[in-house]
Amino acid sequence: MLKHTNTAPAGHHADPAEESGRAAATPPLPDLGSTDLRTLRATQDPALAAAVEGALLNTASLADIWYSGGGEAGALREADPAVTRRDPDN
Amino acid sequence: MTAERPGPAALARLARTRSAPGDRTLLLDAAHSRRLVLLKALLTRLERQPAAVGPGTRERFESHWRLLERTEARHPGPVRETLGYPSVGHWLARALAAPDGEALGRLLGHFGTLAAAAALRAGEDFTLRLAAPGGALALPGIGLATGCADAFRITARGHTARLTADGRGTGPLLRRAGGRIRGTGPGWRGLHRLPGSAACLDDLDPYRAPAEGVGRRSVPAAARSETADDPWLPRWRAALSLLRTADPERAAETTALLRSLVPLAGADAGGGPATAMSATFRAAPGAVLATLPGTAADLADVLVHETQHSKLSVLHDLVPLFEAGPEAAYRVAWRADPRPFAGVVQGTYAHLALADFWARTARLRALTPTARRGAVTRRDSYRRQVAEALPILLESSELTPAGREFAVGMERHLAALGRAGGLPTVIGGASPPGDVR
Repeated sequence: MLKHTNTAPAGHHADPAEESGRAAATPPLPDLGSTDLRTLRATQDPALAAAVEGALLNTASLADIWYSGGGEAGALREADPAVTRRDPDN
Repeated sequence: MTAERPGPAALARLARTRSAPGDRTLLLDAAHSRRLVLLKALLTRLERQPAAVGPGTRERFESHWRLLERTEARHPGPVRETLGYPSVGHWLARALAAPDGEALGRLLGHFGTLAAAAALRAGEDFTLRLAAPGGALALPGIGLATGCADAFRITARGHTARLTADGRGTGPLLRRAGGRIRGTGPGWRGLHRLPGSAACLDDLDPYRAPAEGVGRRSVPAAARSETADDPWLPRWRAALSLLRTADPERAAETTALLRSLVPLAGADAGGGPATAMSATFRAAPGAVLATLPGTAADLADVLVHETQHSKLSVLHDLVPLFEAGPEAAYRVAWRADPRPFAGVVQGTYAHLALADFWARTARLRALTPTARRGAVTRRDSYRRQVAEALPILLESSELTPAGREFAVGMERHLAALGRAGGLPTVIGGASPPGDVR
């Protein structure tokens, strides 16, 4: 397999608004398959609480979109009044 | 308890971009858990910041929540189906990121239509007055009612429901039959079901695509007027037929995981023609956004491609495959600009599935020579791009142990495709950008 030589120069296209370095570890996804809405609202389950905190701290990543085509050749960081999105695509 | 993770055999299968029925069930269950995490996050935000919205908005939200809870207590299936609809994920993402005040208040109003949609599916009796911004009331996965008032009254009894614009005059009548909701009457437009699947062609839901459009040219979602005469449904039928003929398991995967196909407009925000584009939202797995593909083969390509994004997104929630920063540092054959690590993983995975699909298609006996050449060209192009991208993954320090196992599985599958196709395993050199559309 070819060794890759595809790393851009450090800092190239880096967005000054972005944090560099690794993302924080994602809390494990809790199993809510048998959790009804009443229980969901009332529960203080630690695993769920950790997942919720992760979501609240990282709302921008919820708007991630992967897109292909469109005749584009650029990384996209759209400014949204409500949410800042990244496109970790493709 | 954490969500069930795929076992070694399932992870190996998924690394080859394949999936068994049990794998899809596991992914769907994980997507449901993820959706409930986001719903709980919204509840938590409202609990911590009671003043984030006005008291009237809070009261309405609580009333809608009670309807949803009541419906679920008797009919959990329709509630799960409604909560799992892709646009609900997009709506939740926007609600969680919205600033306090009017913006959040408007978004919370949509929760009422979600509750109503679930209750309608379940056949619950209820009466509700719902805000209809711009005179439009969107019932997720069902359809859209329009009128001249900014609110609708829904009165549901048994199998029927009447909608009236702010309680006046006549309006659409909805009927529940055979597990589906159909509507008639003034101002009603229902979503079209995609034959052979449980998904619909969604050209109505206001949360089906970002309001800002997709991509640098902000390509918006197509309006119903733009799709009415377009050959989406015939193209879908033909694409599904191709999928089923070439790769029945891939077709089953597509129909199992797809919930909505969202047409993107034929023109970008500036009025210029939109080139072919497709997209998937992390918050809305199961939705494929796309401009109208030129052929059934192109649509099959889009469906395979975008389904992999949804699969990998949910799998990564279950089994973190990497821990990487967002900086765009890697060059890949399919984009001229450097990509972040997550993008390399997603793109490599999707393109490996496409190489797999077109390899199978190329082996079909009944293909015309032209079609076979086309399939071989696509196969080889995707293989080249994956071959170039995989070392980025395998040589990085950003993969978790599960991610490394996954990437090795992808590498093995690429090698197997090379042996099956009679081509060298490694093909050097980048494809020109855009050649795989």
